[in-house]
Amino acid sequence: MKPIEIVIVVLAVAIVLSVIISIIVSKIKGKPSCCSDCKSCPHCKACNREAITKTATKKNKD
Amino acid sequence: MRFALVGNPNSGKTTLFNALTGSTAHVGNWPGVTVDKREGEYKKLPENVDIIDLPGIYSLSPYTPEEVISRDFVLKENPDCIINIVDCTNLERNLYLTTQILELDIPVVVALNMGDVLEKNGDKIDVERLEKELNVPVAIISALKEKGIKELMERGYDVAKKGRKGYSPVSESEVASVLNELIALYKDVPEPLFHSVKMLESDEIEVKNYPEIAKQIKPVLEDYKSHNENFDFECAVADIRYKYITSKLSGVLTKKERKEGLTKSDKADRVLTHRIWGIPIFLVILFLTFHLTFSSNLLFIGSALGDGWVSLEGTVAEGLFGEGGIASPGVFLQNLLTWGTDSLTEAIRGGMENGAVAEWAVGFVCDGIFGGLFAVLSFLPQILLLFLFFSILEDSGYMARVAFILDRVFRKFGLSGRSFMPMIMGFGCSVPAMINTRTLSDERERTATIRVIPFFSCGAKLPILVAIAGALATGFGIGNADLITYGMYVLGMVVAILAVIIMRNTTLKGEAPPFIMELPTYHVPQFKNLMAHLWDKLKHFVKKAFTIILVSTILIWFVSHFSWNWHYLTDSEMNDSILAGIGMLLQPLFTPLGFGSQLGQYGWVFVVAAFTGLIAKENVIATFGTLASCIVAGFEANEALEGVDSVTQLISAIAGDIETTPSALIPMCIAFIAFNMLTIPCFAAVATAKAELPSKKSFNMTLVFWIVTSYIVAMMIYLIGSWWWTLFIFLALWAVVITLIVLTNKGKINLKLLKNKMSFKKRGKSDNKK
Repeated sequence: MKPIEIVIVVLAVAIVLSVIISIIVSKIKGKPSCCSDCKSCPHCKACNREAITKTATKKNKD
Repeated sequence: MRFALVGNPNSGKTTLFNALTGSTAHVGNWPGVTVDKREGEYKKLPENVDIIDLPGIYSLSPYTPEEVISRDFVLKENPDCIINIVDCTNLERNLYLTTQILELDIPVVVALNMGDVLEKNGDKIDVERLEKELNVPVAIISALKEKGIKELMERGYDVAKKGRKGYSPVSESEVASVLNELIALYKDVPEPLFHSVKMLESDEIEVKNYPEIAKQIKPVLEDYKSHNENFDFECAVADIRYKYITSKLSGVLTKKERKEGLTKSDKADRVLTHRIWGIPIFLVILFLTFHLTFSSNLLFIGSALGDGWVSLEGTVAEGLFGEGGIASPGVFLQNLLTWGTDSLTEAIRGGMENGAVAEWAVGFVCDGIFGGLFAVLSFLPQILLLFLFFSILEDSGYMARVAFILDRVFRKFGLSGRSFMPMIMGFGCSVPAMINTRTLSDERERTATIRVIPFFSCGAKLPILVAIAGALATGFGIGNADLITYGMYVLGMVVAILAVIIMRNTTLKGEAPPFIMELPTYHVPQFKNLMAHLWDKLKHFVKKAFTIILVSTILIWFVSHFSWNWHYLTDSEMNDSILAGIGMLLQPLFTPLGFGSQLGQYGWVFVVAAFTGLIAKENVIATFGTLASCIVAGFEANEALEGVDSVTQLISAIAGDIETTPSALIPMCIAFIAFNMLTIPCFAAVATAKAELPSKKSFNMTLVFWIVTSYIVAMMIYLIGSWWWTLFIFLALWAVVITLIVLTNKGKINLKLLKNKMSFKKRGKSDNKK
């Protein structure tokens, strides 16, 4: 394989893994996965409740 | 410090919130846009202040979920100051809420908003006098023009440090003695005055939370009523409040003499909310929206133009402005973007081929990644333009009227206009639309609405509609892209309405609850707000494209170019791939819908595309983009296919393979669009539905509902489109179903009894066998 081909494969794998990991991490943190950005959503508090509860619990423990 | 923004709907709370915190909150024009609270920070005072934007409410009594949210916040979370936003062009009605807020022991500042409109109308308010009468600071502001806001916050900051004792006009009324007795009973409870007045009004939440006090005061209330015939405490308190407002306002508000007549908003409403013409006008406005976004023949004047005049043949800009007709703004922008992405792809392909890079790598990057990604990104201009038009309709105040006119018609079928508001939000995204259904107090109505929200095609489904409609129109000259797209949107709405009618008359029976809504005056949407929404939408779409869509295209290319024993496959061998194997396995399921076994060896692409759409609806077109160019590479393409998009290539390839004409595949294409529009939405919407529905059983039934509805509708479209006489069979079947529903509702048929009888017969038979 040529170097450029190796770079293409490595990049593709890196992109796939990083996106999947970031989605999983976002889910664990309770971040919303909906279509719109929270800034323009009037319901952002509702979506983020879990994250805020978890963060608040963590802050209280600290 | 924490300040709460409290006021009537459409008084400008969210506009003020934006001005204070700098965030781009959505400013809707009907109640229920801000269902939950929003927080931000104001940083221009000696210490930062948290600003909480509460939902618009008319009172602090628990008639609606918004009122419960606001009431709970002010009572439990103890803000340092309440900024009561009052629309000063509608003072009397807005001050009703003010009288209730003043009963709290919380510092209050009254912000008289829309001061610019008041000035324009020639009216005047004696702010100093009003301040003296209400005994709280009053500031006149214009949240829209950001005037008077600094002074408002400074006054709020000053009073927040001083504290305040609540006041109620009831304490100086004929029922003061009863109120004093209640205050004594609430001695150990914070906000005794507020709670006492609420108990006097027999407030539901108050009675529920303090049953002992309710029990103790009952004899006092009964005794008072016995001495005053036909006396009602709730009405009396409301009367006391309005008399108080009237007495305070006299001498404060000076109205300019006006000629009797309708305002501009009223005149517009006479036409736009007309009893007969209201809905047709809405459909025309919707059509114009689609025409300006998707039409390749703007205003249908293509035939009047000379050949080559628009297409600019032989020039760099060939086809940019349209061919055979003037391209609409949406199509022009799409052509521009496609020209850019095609040039980029070809440049990279050329570079890679010149660098002797392996064929698989060129295919992966150019056909796989770029093919899929750019297939979706090419729709960005049209998605943004459609979103812009819907934002204009919403911010101008027109969408509120749509809910009103639909309520009038559909109330007879158990639907209220209030449920149309979340549905219309579904045109943007299903997730906030489903959350917005919290404004519906009836649980069954709420469940029915959540189920049909995905039928109002969101922005993510737009590429599917436009790509296939565009393929039929521009690729094969069948119909108009904008008409087909518009027709499919209307189909989604019609299916949604019919589905809700059926549900409300069968499994989710109920009457339409009363619908009261304030129609805001029409106004020109703020350019800044519109651009802010567009920017947010653009950022989100691009982020989604370069994450989820990109990953999907990589994975799709991978599984479509490797066989089950991990051998690499060229484009022409794709039918032996893992993806093709899975697609072909599932293909027969979709035969009744037209995109199953009858599409030959390449029909699996449609099946696979439908399934990848479950992750994100944009993936449907990304799948076509990734796979179609590979499939066509295995064909000897004829000249007519040059320059056409992935869907057109695929349809042509399939038609050639099964020896039919592309026009014969029209019913299949429309059925495919319908299936994708109506089936299970994206994972985010499914997760939201699961969170918002009352039970797991309800959620499971919703999944079944989506699958069954999309399957039946798509099947009907395909079968009727291919064999017109099947229409009569379906009409007969639907007539039977409707008859059964009507007879069951009238009590002529008892389906439960029938079911019991049938199961009894079955048990009887099995007993006999034993």
